[in-house]
Amino acid sequence: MEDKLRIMVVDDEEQVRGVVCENLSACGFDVVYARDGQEALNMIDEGTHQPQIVITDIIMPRKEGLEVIMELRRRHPDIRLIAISGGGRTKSADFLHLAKKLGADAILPKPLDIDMLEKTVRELVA
Amino acid sequence: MAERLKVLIIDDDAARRTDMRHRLGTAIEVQEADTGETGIALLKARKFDCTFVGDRLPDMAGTGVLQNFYDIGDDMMPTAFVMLGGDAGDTGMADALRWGAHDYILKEQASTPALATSLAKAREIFSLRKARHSAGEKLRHAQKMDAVGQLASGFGHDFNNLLTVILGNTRLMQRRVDAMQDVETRAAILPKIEGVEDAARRGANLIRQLMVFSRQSELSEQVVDLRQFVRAAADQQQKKLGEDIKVRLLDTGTNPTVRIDAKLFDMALANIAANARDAMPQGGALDFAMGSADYGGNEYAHISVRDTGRGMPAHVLERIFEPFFTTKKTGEGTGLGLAMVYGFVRQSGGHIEAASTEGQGTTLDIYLPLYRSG
Ligand SMILES: Nc1ncnc2c1ncn2[C@@H]1O[C@H](COP(=O)(O)OP(=O)(O)OP(=O)(O)O)[C@@H](O)[C@H]1O
Ligand SMILES: [Mg+2]
Repeated sequence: MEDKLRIMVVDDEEQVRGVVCENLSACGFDVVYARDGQEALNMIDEGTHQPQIVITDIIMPRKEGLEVIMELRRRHPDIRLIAISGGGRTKSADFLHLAKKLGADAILPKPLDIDMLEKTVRELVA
Repeated sequence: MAERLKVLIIDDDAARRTDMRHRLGTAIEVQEADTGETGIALLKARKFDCTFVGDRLPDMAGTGVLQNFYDIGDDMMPTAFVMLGGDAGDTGMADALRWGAHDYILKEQASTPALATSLAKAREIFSLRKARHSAGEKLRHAQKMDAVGQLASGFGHDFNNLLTVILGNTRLMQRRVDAMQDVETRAAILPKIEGVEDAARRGANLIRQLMVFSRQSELSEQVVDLRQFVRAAADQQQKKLGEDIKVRLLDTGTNPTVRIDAKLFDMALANIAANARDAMPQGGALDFAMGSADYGGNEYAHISVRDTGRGMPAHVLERIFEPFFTTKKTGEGTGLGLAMVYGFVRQSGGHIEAASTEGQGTTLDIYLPLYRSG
């Protein structure tokens, strides 16, 4: 049997990351989570979990999603990145567009469409 | 050349009306009414710069005409009013002023210069009150729009997180139920879950509309062939609206290209079509026309959507783009459909205009910037 696809979900909202993780697990992926950007980077640097895909919220306390994206791009160019956001252009900055410019492979709006997320994940590793 | 001033004289004395008409001179367009009722009807139908009202009319006191309009606010009168008083000892003057008259003149003193002065003075007071009113309205409107924008950005993020949790959990439930052996239980539970999902998606739609209206929404723009796009949208609407509404596609020959967020454009056209459907409960026609057109001296891609529905009166038409403005029952309309359309068109660098005739139909004209490659 093939190895399961390893995914890390980064979101500061407990319920959101819980339900996203559980759905992805139900899709047959190997899922872990981090509570914010800093924790995500630490986990990856310490090698506790080497995800192939990181799904990150954009607006978070302690290391924003955009910073996570930039740092991961620099240090782990092989990891695929999906940015999600509840929207909001603050001072006319489009976060999702910025995320894409900074190197996210895909962007998805909230409320998150789980089926769409699964499809995006599969396309990124195809 | 400046337009001629339009003046209405409401008085039952025909000789006095003729006399005043002469004194006002040919530079002024004069209409006459011999009763209060006719006068009110004329004032509702046409725009007059000034109205002279006799103090005693056959069907009401002269102040009755003023009262009829005063109730909506002294700064919202339809015209400048000059009261024509009888003898000087009358209490008429006080009454007239109280009901919002802009000036008062005694009948026997209505000489040519006196009429001219009175006309000018009444119009000046009228326009001052009007200006005060519209400044107040503008400010209120701007504050309201601002508040809606703040609300949308403050709420949007949290709301979308909540909806993610609801939708994510319904998806988990669906997975569980799908795996159940008991067909009957499965058939009983699945529709309930779908009900929750459906409601959550409607909530998501509301937030999305609100965010698009207040331009908090990110546009994901792509280059689109307008003819193809509108044709597809029209086909889709025809399927949704059913046979009683005939969707037609008119083409002006030019085929502009635009750079827009296709999903939002689709949503905008669907909102417009939904309104057309509501305005045509007995069926009718919905025409989509496209091409290019001039707007304010520049060339734009032009999409026009016209229905043959019930139309709307001017005071509704004025407000259709306001968020939460609806004439529909609670549960049937939120008043966000056209607010979304407006926000989308403006954020895309375009313009929108609406026209409507009661009993005949409504047309929305959308102008989007042309996309020029290179
Ligand atoms: N084609 C039309 N014909 C007649 N009246 C219309 C038409 N389109 C809009 N209106 C009027 O404008 C109002 C506002 O329209 P809008 O689409 O913004 O909100 P709504 O349809 O009432 O609610 P929602 O779109 O949120 O379900 C409507 O309630 C209706 O009175
Ligand atoms: Mg509507």
